[in-house]
Amino acid sequence: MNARRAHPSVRTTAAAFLFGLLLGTALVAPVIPPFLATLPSPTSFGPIGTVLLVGVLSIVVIGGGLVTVYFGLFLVDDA
Amino acid sequence: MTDLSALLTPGVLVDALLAVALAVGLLIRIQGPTLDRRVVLASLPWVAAGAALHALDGVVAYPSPLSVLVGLPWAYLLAVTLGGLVWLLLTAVLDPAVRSVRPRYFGVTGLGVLLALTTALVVHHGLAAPAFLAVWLSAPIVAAFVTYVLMFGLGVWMPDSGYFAGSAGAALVFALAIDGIGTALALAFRRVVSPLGLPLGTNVPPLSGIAHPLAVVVAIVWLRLILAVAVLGGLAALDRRRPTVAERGLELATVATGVVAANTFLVALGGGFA
Repeated sequence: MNARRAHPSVRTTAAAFLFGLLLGTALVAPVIPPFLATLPSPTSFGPIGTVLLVGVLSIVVIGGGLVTVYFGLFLVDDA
Repeated sequence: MTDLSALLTPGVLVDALLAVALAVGLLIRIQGPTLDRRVVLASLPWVAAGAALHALDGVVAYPSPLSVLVGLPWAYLLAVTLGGLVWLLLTAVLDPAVRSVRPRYFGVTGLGVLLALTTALVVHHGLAAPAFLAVWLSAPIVAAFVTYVLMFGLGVWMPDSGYFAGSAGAALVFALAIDGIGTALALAFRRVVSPLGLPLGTNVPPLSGIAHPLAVVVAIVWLRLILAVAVLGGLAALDRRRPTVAERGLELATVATGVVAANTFLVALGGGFA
C-alpha cells in the first residue's frame, strides 16, 4: 500500500525494543519489593520443582516475547 | 525545608500527567504525522501497556501517591503519553530519510514496555497458580488460531473484504476473539465484568450450573466473530464508494476493539479467577 519505504534497521529495531523493556521495567520498579514479597518461596516447590518451574516460566516469557515481537513487526510492516 | 513527598499528592500527579499529555499532544499535532494503518497498529501495544499497568496494580498495589496513576483512566493516559514521548524522541533522533519506518520502531518499543509489564504478571501467576497461568496463556494462542482461520476464510470467500481488511483487519479480529475469550473465561470462572472490562465483583451464581464453561466460551467468541465479519464486510462495501471514510472507520474500529480487548483480557484475567 505504501509506495516507497526505507529499509528498517535490525540494530535500531533491537535498540528500540531494549529501550521499551527498560521503560517497562521502570514502570514496574516501584512495586518490585512488595511484588517479590507476594511470591511463594522457591523452596516450597522442592529443588526439581523449582528448576522445572523456572525453566517453563523462562520459556514462556522468552518464547512468548519473541513470538509477540515477530507477529507485531509482521503486522506493522505488512500494513 | 518543605518535604517533597508531602507535595506529591495524587491530585498533583494527575495534574502533572494531564499537563505533560497536553504538551505531548500539541507537539505531535504541530508535527502533523500521517495517520495510517501502520501508526494505528504500532500504537496498539501502548494501549495494551495501559491495561497491563492497571492489571499489575490489581496484583500488587502501587505505593500511595503513584497508585492514582495506574488506576482507571489514568493508566491509559500514562501509557499513551509515554508512547507520545517515544514518538517525539524517534522523530528527533531518526534521520528524515528513514522516518517512514518510524511506526516500526514506535511499535517495537511499545511491545518492549508491554512485555516487561506482562512478564511480571506471568511470573506472579506462574508461581502462585500455574494452572491459572496455563488457562491465561492459552487464550492468545486460541485467539491467534481463530484469527488465522477467519482471515483465511475471508480471503477465500470474500476476497475484496480480505484484501481491504489486511493486517488491520487481522488485528481487529484478534482483539475481538481475545475479548470474547477473556469475557467468557471471566464469566465461566464467576468473575463479573462490565462492558468496559471492569471487574464488578465475584459474588455471582456459577455459570457452570447453567452451561458448560466451554459452551459459554464458544458462544461468546462466536458472537464476536460474527460481529468482526459484519464490520469488515460493511467497511469493505463502503470502501468502493467512500474509501477514505472506510479506511478511517477501520482504523477507529481497530483501536476501539484493541482498547476494549486489552482491558477485558488483562484486567479481568490478570486479577485472577479467585
